[in-house]
Amino acid sequence: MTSKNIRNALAVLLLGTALAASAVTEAANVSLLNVSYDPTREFYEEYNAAFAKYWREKTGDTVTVKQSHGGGGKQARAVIDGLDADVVTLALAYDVDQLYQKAKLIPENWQSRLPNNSAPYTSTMVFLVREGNPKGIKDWNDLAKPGVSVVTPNPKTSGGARWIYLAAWGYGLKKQGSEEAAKDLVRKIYKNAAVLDTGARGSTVTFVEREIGDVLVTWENEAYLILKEYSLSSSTEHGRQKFELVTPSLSILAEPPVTVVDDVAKRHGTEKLATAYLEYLYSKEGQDLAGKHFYRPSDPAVLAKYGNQFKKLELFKISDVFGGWNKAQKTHFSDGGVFDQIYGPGR
Amino acid sequence: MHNRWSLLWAAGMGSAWMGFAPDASAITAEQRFEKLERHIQELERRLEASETENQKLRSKKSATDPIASEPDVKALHQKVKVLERKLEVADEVAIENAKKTPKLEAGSNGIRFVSPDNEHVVRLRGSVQADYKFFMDDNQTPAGLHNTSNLADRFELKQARIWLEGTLWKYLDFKIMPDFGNGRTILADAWIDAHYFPFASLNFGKQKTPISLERLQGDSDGTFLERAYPTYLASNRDIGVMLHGEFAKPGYQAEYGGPVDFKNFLSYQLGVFNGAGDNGSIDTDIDDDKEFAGRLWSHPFQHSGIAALEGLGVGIAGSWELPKRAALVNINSAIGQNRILDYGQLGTGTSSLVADGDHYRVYPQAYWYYGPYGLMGEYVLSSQQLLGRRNGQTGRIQQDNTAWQVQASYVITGEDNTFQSVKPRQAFNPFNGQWGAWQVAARWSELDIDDETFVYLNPSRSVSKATAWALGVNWFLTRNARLMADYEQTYFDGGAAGGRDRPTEKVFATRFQLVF
Repeated sequence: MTSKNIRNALAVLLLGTALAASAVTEAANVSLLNVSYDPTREFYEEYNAAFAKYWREKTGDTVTVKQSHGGGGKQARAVIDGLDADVVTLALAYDVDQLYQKAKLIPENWQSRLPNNSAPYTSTMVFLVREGNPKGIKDWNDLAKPGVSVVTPNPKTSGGARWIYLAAWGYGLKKQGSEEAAKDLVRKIYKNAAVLDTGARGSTVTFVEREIGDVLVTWENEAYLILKEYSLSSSTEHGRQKFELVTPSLSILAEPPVTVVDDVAKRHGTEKLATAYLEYLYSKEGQDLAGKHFYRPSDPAVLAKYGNQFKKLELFKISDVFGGWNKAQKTHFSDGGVFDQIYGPGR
Repeated sequence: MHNRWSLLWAAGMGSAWMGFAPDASAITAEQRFEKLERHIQELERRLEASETENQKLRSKKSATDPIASEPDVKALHQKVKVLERKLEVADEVAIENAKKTPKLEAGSNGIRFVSPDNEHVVRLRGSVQADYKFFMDDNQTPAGLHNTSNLADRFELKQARIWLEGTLWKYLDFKIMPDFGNGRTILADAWIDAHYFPFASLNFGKQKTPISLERLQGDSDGTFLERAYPTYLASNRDIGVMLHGEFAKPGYQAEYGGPVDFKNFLSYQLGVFNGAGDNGSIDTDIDDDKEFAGRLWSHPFQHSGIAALEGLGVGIAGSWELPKRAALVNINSAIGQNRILDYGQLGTGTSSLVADGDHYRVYPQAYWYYGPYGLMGEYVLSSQQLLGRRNGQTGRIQQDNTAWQVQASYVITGEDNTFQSVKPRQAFNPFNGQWGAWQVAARWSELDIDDETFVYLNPSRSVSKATAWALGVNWFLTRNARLMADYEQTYFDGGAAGGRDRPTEKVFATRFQLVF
């Protein structure tokens, strides 16, 4: 090789190295806003830390995820009205779908973009009663008995509350065999409702902190969290539980969905990050965290790992009983719908 | 742990929504709040009475039956807790609803709709000016008077306006103002002002041209019923685009003061308009040439600590245009509003007289307000070329008209005298010994029409000079209602047959004005 060739080769090598070096970008600080429903605070606190660690290891970037929590319906409306959420992780598909219907913030086919109809985990609705279950609450029909004080959030504002309402209705339909019987059951339950909070976490405060009511109807994960929280409290006295979880015989399969808010993510330049954030929910670590926080992971292997912590119960899907969320929303929760008829003034 | 749950819950807060109609929910929540409050009070009374009764019973009952009333007490406790919690939830909902509910305000500033975030405001406002003019010593012979307008004592509806103004998206102001006064319907103002940057904002549409100081004063804020002569040598309103900005004294922050600012240390306006001519107000244009108008204004002693000079404002305005065969606008006497310069009354053999060629104006102007005292003055030179045709021959003359005025006012009742009128400390209410605010004023004003004008204009029909003094009294019953009474005496040079001077116009005028 001549000296000229050697010089040329060195020049090419140096140039290539310089180009490669220039392609390496500095680590960036990026942030996301996750608008979520009420009871997911503890889960996302831990999940966000895990995702940030993962993302830093993968890309070198530091990601900060800000959270907003509240009743699912209210949260959806806030995003439609301009709250710049990069992702939403809401209680039910209807609320997420409003981002398309009302404001075209997401595509129409949003739900098919992630596995399991964009629901990385599922949950259901259960009861939490006081120590000893003094009112003998076993199933949905017990909530309708006179003298039982029920604490549940308001279906007009809370996504979880709509799942609860539909669970009760589904039970009434199956066990008592008619729409009228189901309506009567639900009417009696809401007649026994001491307070209708605006979100699931508010109902928790009402039942746990304010000591109101005989039974709290809530998310399964919320019920377990309460039991876990109060098992550490000094008020339990000699290891006794202040509350007991009662699993009804039948409940609804709640599938809280997640999606990137495309319109916002595009403006922020966070599409890739937001997508990765939600995809990580389906990872082993994400699923493990879900199980740890008492959500039912969609990954069968992880579900099996946490299976023992969940009570066995019959679960029905909203599509099976109500024909999907659009129909259920229109029939029961729209203005003048069934809920307004059974809970409106002069009921 | 208890605090943690509360904090977590409080951090998220509940939802704002009770459902369908935010307004209905807000009303319902308040009513429910009151009802629940009454329930709590009743239950607390019953609880107290029950406990007292229990105490008495316990002291009488045997030890084998100590807790017969406990379930009742527990049930009452539970009810009280439920009611308290319902109140808390209702409070949360009311607070959230309030954040989403637009505010409706009705008061001395009109009717206002304000968005929850205060970025959108729409105001419905209106004004009415009902005048009466009484002319004295006007029983002259028709030959002596030679007025083309009669001096009939008359009631007039000078102004009847209802308008919309407001702000959208925080930085876009607008105003749409029709006027139904004087028996006609016109669109007085229709503009949009984009004021993202205080130092450079843009105003589009029909607006007051930034020339005469008194013209720029609010139409309902003037000290006298009518403006003085310098105003009539400037255009009234025109359509165009105007760049404007305001600056604060170093160390202070400028405040948005509208398209023409009188709040800040320094302000400027630079506009391009169709060109309405002296005393004109037009809605279109007939040629390509436009009028350029600009104004620089300052409160040089603002934030100086010299209280007596804080209210001093000085400035200069000017304009230039190049009209082509543009019609000339007549001029009336100030308060009397009788025709004194009539471009329609041409001299013998003259068939036309139009504005054609360079037209510029220079307007030095100033005011000073301190406590109850007020002074205002301005001078104008309006120099334009006129093109006339007489006896088949076209000729061009240079018309240099001048006008000036100085006015002084004093608020007897002590309120602050300002360029934006007087706000009484207390509304008129004789039953409480409240008399509103009273202001007296005096003014001297002159108009000098270039003698060259009468090469083409009939000197028997138009005056060459008008000199007026006026006295006025203003009674501000409230911030919105004012009674005005002016007397003006105007002396004329020319304007009557045979080269004589038109008789002095003596007018006593009153006005009742309502603005909201």
